[in-house]
Amino acid sequence: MQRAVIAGVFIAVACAVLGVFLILRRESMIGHGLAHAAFAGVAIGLLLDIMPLGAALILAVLISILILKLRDRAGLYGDTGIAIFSSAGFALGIILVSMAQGFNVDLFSYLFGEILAIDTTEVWLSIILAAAVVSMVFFNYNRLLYITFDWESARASGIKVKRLDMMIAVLTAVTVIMGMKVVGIILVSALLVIPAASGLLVAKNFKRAIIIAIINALISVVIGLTLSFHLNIPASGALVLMSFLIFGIMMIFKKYRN
Amino acid sequence: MASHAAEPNTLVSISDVSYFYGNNHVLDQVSLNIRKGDFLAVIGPNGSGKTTLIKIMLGLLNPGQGEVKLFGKLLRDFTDWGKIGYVPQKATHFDPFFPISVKEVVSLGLISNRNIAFISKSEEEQAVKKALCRVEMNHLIHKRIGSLSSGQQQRVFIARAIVSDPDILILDEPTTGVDASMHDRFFDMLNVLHKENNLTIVLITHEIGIINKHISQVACLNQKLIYHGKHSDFCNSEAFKKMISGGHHLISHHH
Repeated sequence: MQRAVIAGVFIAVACAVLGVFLILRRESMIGHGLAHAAFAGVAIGLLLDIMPLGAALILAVLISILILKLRDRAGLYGDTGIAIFSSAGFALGIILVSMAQGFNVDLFSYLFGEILAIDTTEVWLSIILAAAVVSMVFFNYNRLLYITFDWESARASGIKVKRLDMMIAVLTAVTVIMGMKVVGIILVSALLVIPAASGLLVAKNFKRAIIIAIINALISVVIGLTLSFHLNIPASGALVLMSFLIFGIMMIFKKYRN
Repeated sequence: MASHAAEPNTLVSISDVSYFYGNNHVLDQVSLNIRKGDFLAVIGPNGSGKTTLIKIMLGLLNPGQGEVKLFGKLLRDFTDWGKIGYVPQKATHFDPFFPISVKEVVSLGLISNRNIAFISKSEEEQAVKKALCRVEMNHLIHKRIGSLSSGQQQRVFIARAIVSDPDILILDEPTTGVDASMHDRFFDMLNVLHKENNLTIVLITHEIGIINKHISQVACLNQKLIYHGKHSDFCNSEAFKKMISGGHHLISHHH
């Protein structure tokens, strides 16, 4: 339980911070898309008996870069590339799963998450990931804000926008894979989107949006895992529903504030 | 017409630039020098290549042919972007719910100079306030940008463009979405920036009616550069007659 809370808190913070940028870049569905595409990586890992999360990570990073390239070079909108790779990856995963026998139980842990079974290495990985995301945002905060708000002006002012786009894409892929362990492929986009959306709903400036998103994520993890432990309900469902509940409270708060 | 050889006080030198969008020839061997102190209006009908020319000048598009020099340096070697302030055509077309204050928007303009993480908070605040004062928007510093009118937003974007104390300010269709009754005030503000701050201004527009007494130079573009010279001579030029006969009517002209 202790390991689950530590890993959950760090992964949720990384998701909340990245999520604010992703929503404003109109890439809310990238978490959903990358997780589905990474399903093929999990299936490859299980089929070949190599580390499934490692295979999923490599595939997710490659696909996040491909989505970016497709948008830039083929003139596809960001979410079209996400839809294409998400479907293709998941389709490949289904075929690989049907070809192999005997890993159905393992597969379920990747589909629905298994945070209570998280090991010490994964706890450390989640801490490193959160530190990487937070420091990336801290050191590039103004540039990231600029490219998110006005990409063209940011580029005209000499900012290396493509480099930053790539950095966001790769960190998102890594975060999604770590999030898969917490809530699973099906629900990982909720970690990226719901806390960030609640921050954006009520904040009047960008920094506050990030802070509110982090608070939502922390409360969701701690209360969600506690409820899961005491009520014997799935941790992933409890965590995401808690985040959704906070989002609902924020909506009511906003309505009455206005 | 434009001279190819750059004069000593030339800030921007565009030489024989051509550009294609697919098979569409957008710019055909355009040469144009922008000198220090110019208040230049680049005019031409929609689709004449004005925005493309500016994007090439800013390194946002690569020219198929030709060469651009900024402050005497080839575009690929130019790094001092703080010397150029730019307000794009669609600056005010952002998501109105974006949680960003006027202060945050203007601060973004400091990034081109250096990493604003290394500028002290008081320095940053002082620069932002000064830029907002110059466009008469200081009273809105803590407002969310999405809550302002289009005209106010445009002024805030100009503040962002001038906060790094640039030598040249480029505005792409700046009066789009600004109430026609506010055009005079808007140009008066630009004129103050031009005169008191010694700022070179390049203004792109398809409305020749907004060209007024403050503008010193006109460059008329329609795939090729068909006129570049004094504003006062432009009204008697063939280029002007062609534009008028092409359905571009002069709405107001202040001499």
